[in-house]
Amino acid sequence: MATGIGRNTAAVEGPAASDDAAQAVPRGRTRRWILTAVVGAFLLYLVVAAARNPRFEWDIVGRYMFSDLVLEGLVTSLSLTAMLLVFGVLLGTLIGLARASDFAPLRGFAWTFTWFFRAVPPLVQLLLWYNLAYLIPEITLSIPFGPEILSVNANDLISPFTAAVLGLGLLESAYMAEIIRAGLGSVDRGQTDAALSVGLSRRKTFFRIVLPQSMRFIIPPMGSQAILLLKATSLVSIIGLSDLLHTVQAIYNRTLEVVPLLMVATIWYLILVSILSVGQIALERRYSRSFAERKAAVREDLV
Amino acid sequence: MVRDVITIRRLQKYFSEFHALKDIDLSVREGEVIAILGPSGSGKSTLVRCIHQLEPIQGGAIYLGDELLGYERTRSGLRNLSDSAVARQRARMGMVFQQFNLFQHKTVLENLIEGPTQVMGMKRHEAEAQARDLLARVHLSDKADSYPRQLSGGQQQRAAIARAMANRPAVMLFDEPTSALDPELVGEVLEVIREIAATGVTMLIVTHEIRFARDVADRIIFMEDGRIVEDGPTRQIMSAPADTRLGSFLARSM
Repeated sequence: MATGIGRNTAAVEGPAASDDAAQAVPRGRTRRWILTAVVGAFLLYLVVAAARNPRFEWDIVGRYMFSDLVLEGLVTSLSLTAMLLVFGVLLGTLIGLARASDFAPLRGFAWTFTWFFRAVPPLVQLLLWYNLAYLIPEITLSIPFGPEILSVNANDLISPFTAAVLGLGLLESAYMAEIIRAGLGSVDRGQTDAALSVGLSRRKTFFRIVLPQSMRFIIPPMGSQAILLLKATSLVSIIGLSDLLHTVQAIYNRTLEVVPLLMVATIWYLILVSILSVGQIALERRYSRSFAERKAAVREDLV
Repeated sequence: MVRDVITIRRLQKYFSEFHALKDIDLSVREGEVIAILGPSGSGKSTLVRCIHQLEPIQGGAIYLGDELLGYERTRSGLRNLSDSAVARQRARMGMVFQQFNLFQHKTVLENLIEGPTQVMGMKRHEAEAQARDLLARVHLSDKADSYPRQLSGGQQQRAAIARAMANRPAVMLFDEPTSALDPELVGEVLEVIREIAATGVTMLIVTHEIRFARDVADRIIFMEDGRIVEDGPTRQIMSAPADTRLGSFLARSM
């Protein structure tokens, strides 16, 4: 009977003094080297091809990378992101709280809000808000059956910027509301019982006990939401707001240097998202610290 | 004349259709240590949670001293008290939970000063001094700056007992204080409760530890199906004949 189990191997029969797992050769090492070499060669080929392809026109990319117009667009994209984040966190907190409320009509309203703004695609929302003036030409504030207090032409009110803040901000707060609701729900019910039991009011129970503990569940998804949001701001170019993408589009419509200018936008988005991602990793580390502490405590017990 | 710390009259508690507490009448005298026994689902925990105003009640009344809990009298009848008034009433009782429920983001010391500084209006340094005294009483002086997750279950529960005493409550309520503990940690928690009981603190203890109840309680209440079916001095209850429901419960649980 043949006892071999592979081409160069033989079945182990009985103990041998030379057997030592520390000397074992890992399987599949050659295969990994070959795969690494193939992937590496392919990436190198892509870089070289991109660098040598004259149509990329890297000199033009370099010329526009830090041009005033592009930097202005960049600042618009960044400030829009920041503003939307603040808007989303504030309104999202209110909606999230309403969703966790024990008052049914409030809960219903919050549910409808998140349902609507999460279901309608962001691009559609932007166009809708931008064209609000068609639906409601005049926005009037008046005493019911009484005189008008204030009347604004919707076209004056809805600039591309306000349309962008409304279109993406309401969407953003719907997502934030879900994140906050889930975060609050992740805090053990016993914490509320204990807080009430030492005599804290409902308000103090929320702000001193529940909210601080829910931050661990809320902050990391908010970070990734910020990254998604930065990318989503490129949609506002459709309503003519001069963000990064719209700016490069405006330039290449004039100069016809389409690809190099799209590369400028691509590189800037890559840089910004990378920076945010590093921040995101730091946030996640910080908020999972309790887990590391637990491990440290276990080590202490063992000593 | 010994005062009643807690008085309960015809208390009714429903969880939607389920009648969890039926016609509970009970008086707790000052300094009394009462153990509440009974099978799972008999309403023991619900009773202490109702006393502590963590559960709304659907009928009857509960008094802490002379004060009606959870409601105020108006010309048109009873009306729910404001949240802050209920909070002030809760602060006059100390509650120890089965799952300890220490504030996870605060150190042991911070857990102990939360009530005194936030509710009782005590100065921080006074509250800390008092907290250190309390920690000494539960043998945790060296754990003041630890976080709850760094403590064993027994240590957490002893810290929770100290926290429940920090507001200097008129009565201490225990909701199965040892049921979530590993068997080898039960003893240290019971010992601490025993020591505190010996100082004359009024206590209501929901427990499954019959032996402990016999040793520490002056009086035992036996509940079944949401009713108090036996209520009497420990010695008398513990000698219940085995053919009664209480007797067979005791025989099963010992």
